[in-house]
Amino acid sequence: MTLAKSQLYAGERAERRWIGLCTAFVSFYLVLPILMAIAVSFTSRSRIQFPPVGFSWRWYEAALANREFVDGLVMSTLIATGSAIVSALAGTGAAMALRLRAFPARTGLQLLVGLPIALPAVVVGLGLLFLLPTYGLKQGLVPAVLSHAVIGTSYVTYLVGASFANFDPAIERASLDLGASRWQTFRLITLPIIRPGIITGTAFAFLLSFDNVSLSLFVTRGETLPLKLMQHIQFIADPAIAAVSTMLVGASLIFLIVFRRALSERQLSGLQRR
Amino acid sequence: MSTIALGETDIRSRIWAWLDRWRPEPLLWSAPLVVISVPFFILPLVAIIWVSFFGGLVTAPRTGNFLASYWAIVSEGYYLSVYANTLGTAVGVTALTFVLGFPLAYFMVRWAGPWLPWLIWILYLPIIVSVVVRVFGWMVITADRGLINQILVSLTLVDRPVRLLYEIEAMTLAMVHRYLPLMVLPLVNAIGKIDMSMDRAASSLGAGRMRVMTSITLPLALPGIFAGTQLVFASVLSDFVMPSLLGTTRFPMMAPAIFEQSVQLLNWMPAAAIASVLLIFVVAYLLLTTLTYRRFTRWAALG
Repeated sequence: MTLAKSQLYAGERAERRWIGLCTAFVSFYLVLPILMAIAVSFTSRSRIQFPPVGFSWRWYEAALANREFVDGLVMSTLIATGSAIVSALAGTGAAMALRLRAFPARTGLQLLVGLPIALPAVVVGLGLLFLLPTYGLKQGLVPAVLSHAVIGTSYVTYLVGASFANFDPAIERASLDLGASRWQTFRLITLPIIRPGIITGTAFAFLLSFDNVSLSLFVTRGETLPLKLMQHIQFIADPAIAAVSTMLVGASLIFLIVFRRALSERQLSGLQRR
Repeated sequence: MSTIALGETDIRSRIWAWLDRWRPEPLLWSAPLVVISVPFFILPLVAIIWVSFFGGLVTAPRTGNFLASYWAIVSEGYYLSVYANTLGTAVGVTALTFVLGFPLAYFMVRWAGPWLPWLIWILYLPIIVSVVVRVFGWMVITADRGLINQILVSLTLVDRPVRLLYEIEAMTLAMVHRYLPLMVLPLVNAIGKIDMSMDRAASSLGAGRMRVMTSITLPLALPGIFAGTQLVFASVLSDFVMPSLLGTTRFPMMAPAIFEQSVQLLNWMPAAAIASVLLIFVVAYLLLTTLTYRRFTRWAALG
C-alpha cells in the first residue's frame, strides 16, 4: 500500500502534497466542533460566545444539578446496555447463519441485516408508535431496547462476519472429528476467534443506542439523554449543554481506551455494508 | 407400502437425511434476529403503509377514498417544498461529503503511514461523540458571536455578523460533518483493494496523474463510491436532529415534518403518508444506484 519515497513518480509528489493538504483541512473540520464544545464549557458567561470569557466550573455544577440530565443519563445507559446485549446475541447468531453458504432464505436474512442501516429510522419509529398498543407495550424502556437492538444487530453481524474472513473452517471440522460436541466446538474454537468482532460490534451497538434520536422520539416519552439535551437546546442553548458535552466526550474517550485493543484498525475500516 | 416398522437406526438416518435436506442450522442461528426484527422492524414498515391508505391502529379506520391522505400531501405547495428541500439537501450533502471525503480516503490508503491510526480515530470521533455535542459545537462556530463571525468581523470582511445559525448554512455544515465518515469508510475499503501496479502501469505508459486518477482510480473505487453515496443520501433524507436544531422552519425537511404531523398535531394518516413517501424515496434511490452500479461494472465480472 505505502511506497518507499524513492519510488515516487515525479507527479506523485505534488499530488501527495496537494491531497495531504486536503486531508489536513478535512481532519480539522472533523475535530473542530468537538473542540469548540469543550472550550465553551469552561466559560463564565451565560451566552454562547467565542472565544469564551473567563474560566469557571459553574456549568458543570449546573449540569450535574439538573435532575433531567441525570435521569436521562440513567435511562439512556439502561436502554443502551439492554440493546447492546440483545444485539450481541442476535448479531452473533445472524453472522453464524450467514457464514453458511447456501440455505433457503439466505438473501432474506441478508436483507434483514442490511436494511435497518439503510432504511429511515423515523419511519420505523412512527410505525412502532402505531403498533405499540397492539403489542400491549407502553412507550419507554422495552420498545426502546428492542427497536434500537435491530440496528445494533446489523453492526454486530457485519463486524462478526468480518472476523470470519480469515477463519479456517477446517479447525472446526478437526475439533468435531476429535470428538468435541457442537457446543464445545463453538465455545472453545469459534467463539475465541470471533470475540474481537463481538466486542467491537457490541460497543458500537451501545454507542448507537445511547445516541439514538430517530427511534427514541417515537418509542419513548422523551426520557433519554439525547432527547433531554435536545429539548434543553431548543429552549435555551446555554453552556450547561457544553459541560454535558465535555463529560460525554470524556466518557467516549474512556470508552475508546477500554476498547482500544478490541478495536483494531483493520476492523474499523472494514465497517460497512457488503 | 412404507408401513414397515422402523428400526432405531432407520429413524436416526431419517433425521439426518431430514437435517441434510432442510438444514435448520442457519434458521436456528438467525432465530433471535428474526424474533426481534419482525415485530420491531418489518411490521412497523407494513403498519406505516397500511395506515397511510386505510387508517386504523391508533386512528379511526378510513372508509371511502383510500388515496385521500396522499392527495393531501401532494396537493399542497407546502409539502411539495418539503420534498424538494429534503431531496436537494441530500444531493448537496452527498456531493460535498464525496468532494471532502475522497482526498481523505485516498491519502489514508496511499500515504498516511504513521498518521493512519490518528486519521482513523479522527474519522471515528464524529461517530463516537454524541450528536448533541456536535450540534452544540456547530452552534458555537456559527452563532452571531461565534467563531466564524468573530473571524469575519475582526478581518473587517463584514460589518454585521452573517446569519448562519438556524439557517441552511449551519445545517449543511453539520450534516456534512455528521455523514462524512459514512462516505470515507467505504471509500477507504474500495481504494485499499486497488492494485497499485495498475497505477504504475498507467504511469509508465505515459498517463499523467490526472489521467491515472480519472481512468484508473475513480472507476476502480466505484464500489466504495456507490456504497458511500447510498449511506449518506439515505441518512440525510431521514435526518431529524440537524434540521430541527440547526435549520430553519422556512426550510422544512421531511423527518421533522413527520414528527410534527404525528406526535405534535396527531394527523396520523398524513404523517404515515409522508413517512411512506420518505420510504419510497430511499428504496427508489437504493434500487436505482444498485442497478446503475451493475450496469457500470459489468466489465468487472471479467476480472
